[in-house]
Amino acid sequence: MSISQLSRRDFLKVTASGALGLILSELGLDRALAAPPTSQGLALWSGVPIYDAPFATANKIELLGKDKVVNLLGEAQGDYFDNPFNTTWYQVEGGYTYSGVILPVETKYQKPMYEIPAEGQLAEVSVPYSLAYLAPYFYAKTSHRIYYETTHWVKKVVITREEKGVWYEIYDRVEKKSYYIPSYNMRFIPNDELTQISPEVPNADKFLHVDIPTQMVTAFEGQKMVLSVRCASGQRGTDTPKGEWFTYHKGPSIHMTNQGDEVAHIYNLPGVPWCSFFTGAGHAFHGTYWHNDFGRPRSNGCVNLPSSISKWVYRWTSPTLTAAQDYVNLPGEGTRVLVE
Amino acid sequence: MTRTLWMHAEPSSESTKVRLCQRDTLVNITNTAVGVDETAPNRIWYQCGNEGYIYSGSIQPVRTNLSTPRMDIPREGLLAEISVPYTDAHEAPDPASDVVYRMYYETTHWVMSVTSGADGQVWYQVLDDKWDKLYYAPAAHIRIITAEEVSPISPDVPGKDKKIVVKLDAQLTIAYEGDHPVFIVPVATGAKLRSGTYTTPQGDFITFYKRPARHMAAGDVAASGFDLPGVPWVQYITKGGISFHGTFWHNEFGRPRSHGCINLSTSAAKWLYRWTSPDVPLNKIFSYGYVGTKVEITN
Repeated sequence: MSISQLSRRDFLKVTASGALGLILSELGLDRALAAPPTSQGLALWSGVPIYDAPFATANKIELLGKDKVVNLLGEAQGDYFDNPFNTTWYQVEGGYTYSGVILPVETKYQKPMYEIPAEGQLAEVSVPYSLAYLAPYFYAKTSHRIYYETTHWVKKVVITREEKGVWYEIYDRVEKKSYYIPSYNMRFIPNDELTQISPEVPNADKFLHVDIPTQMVTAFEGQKMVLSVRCASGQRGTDTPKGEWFTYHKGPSIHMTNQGDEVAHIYNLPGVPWCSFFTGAGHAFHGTYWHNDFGRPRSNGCVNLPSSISKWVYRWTSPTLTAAQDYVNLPGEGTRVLVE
Repeated sequence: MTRTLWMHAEPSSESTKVRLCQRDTLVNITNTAVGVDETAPNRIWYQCGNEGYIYSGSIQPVRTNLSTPRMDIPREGLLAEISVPYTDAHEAPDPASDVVYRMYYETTHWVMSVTSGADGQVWYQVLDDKWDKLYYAPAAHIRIITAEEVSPISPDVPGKDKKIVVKLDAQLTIAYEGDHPVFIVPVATGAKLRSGTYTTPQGDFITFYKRPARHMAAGDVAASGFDLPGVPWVQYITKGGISFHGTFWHNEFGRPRSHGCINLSTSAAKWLYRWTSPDVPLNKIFSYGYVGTKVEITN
């Protein structure tokens, strides 16, 4: 059977069967398909193309709208566009998408929680995204969308009498405004997910290295390397400042915005998760829900990491925050960071 | 109160029993409280002033709003809802006449004409849409529904882009416009009851048959049958009678407990009814056809 006789449906059928290796080698596609990072992916732009092969020159089959959620079937290595360090593509039904514009997500509805501590409760979005309502009522106007693994400070659980709905009131410290989220869409972060990682290692032996040319973030405990991942650091004009720094202020959920700053392009990002700041000007390691393109500078100065990695960095560095703290600022403390 | 139950001193079934409340007792709900049992699917209790707490699953939140009677009832009737906790359907416009059944808060009924009762008050003639009989109830207890409150929601979104997903294991119903979830509520779907298994079927359906009110009855009421006049905002998805609808006989969402239907709170059922196709113009008894909004029922 030659390839030209294969329709896409046949190809998928064959792919599912044992003949995969043979067909792939004929196509020149004989690369191992790895497991996808999550079971679903969310299109971060309007018009994310699905290609028929993981190559920039392949045919575009279909465009995905913004926030479209697709099942991820596998992960393949292929071409890159702007970022030579990211050649990852996701296999989706019908083809492949470049990973940089797909946020790996899961859909995990939660049982409502009814009790929260007086000081509030940290929670994360556990579905691709949730609507934020202006009142705890499904006829209420909606505001923005909050995305998978973004973190928010729940101030109150609201039970509505007629609808029998359970809503979480989240508070935005920048806007000084509350929003209401259907409880099914958010997971409370249990306290044991906030404890320090490697508490037995003295803070003086912990060291985070950020290598700007290769966009590598490496964590060391003494001589031992314990983490090595690609990041996205500040782009030209808003470079991540080089030098020695300390992670002296931290917060698990920060609304990052530069509104009013006319120099840099405007950004307004509520619920940025797991922020470990190392300069007084707001440079931080933090999670990222607006791109998945690590390996090239593209931020406004921060060191963007996948949210799960930023959570690890947040838990590994000092100071350690308790469940009741939504921010600490301890000048003179923190884990050492070298940006070069 | 949808059945006889105890009011407790604390929001826990283990706590001291304060008072036995008969079915249809009215209590003033002053607040909501959280039940002590952390494993319960529904932990909401209602606080009744200083008197005690009562489990919310068998309490229907109601209001008492007396309505001004309308005299201009057209021959085809007007859609109306009960605006008081309950009112009785009588054989004649006379409080002394026989009571046929009780009609509860926010149930929907067809008002066919208006008449003056033996008590000098205004009474409505109400249609039983299952048995095609006419009963009477005080007009002050019944509110005529306006066209505005049943106007379609998101009519600008093409019908093919709307989809309802029912998640049986999570007991949630989610409405999607395109890929965007716009509505999420807890539901109660079909359960394994003592009398048999009524699990809601899985698969793809459409809301092909909608009616704003339906007297639903099946089986022997003495043995797990049911007789529910005025079930509001009904959207059938199978010819066997599986539907989305409002619920006045319980208030316990989050665990399966129905005879196969997807029970929603009445306000949620109304939202969904307004959002799906086909549109049912106000004062049309039903819309039935081969079109409707997609429904996907999965585990």
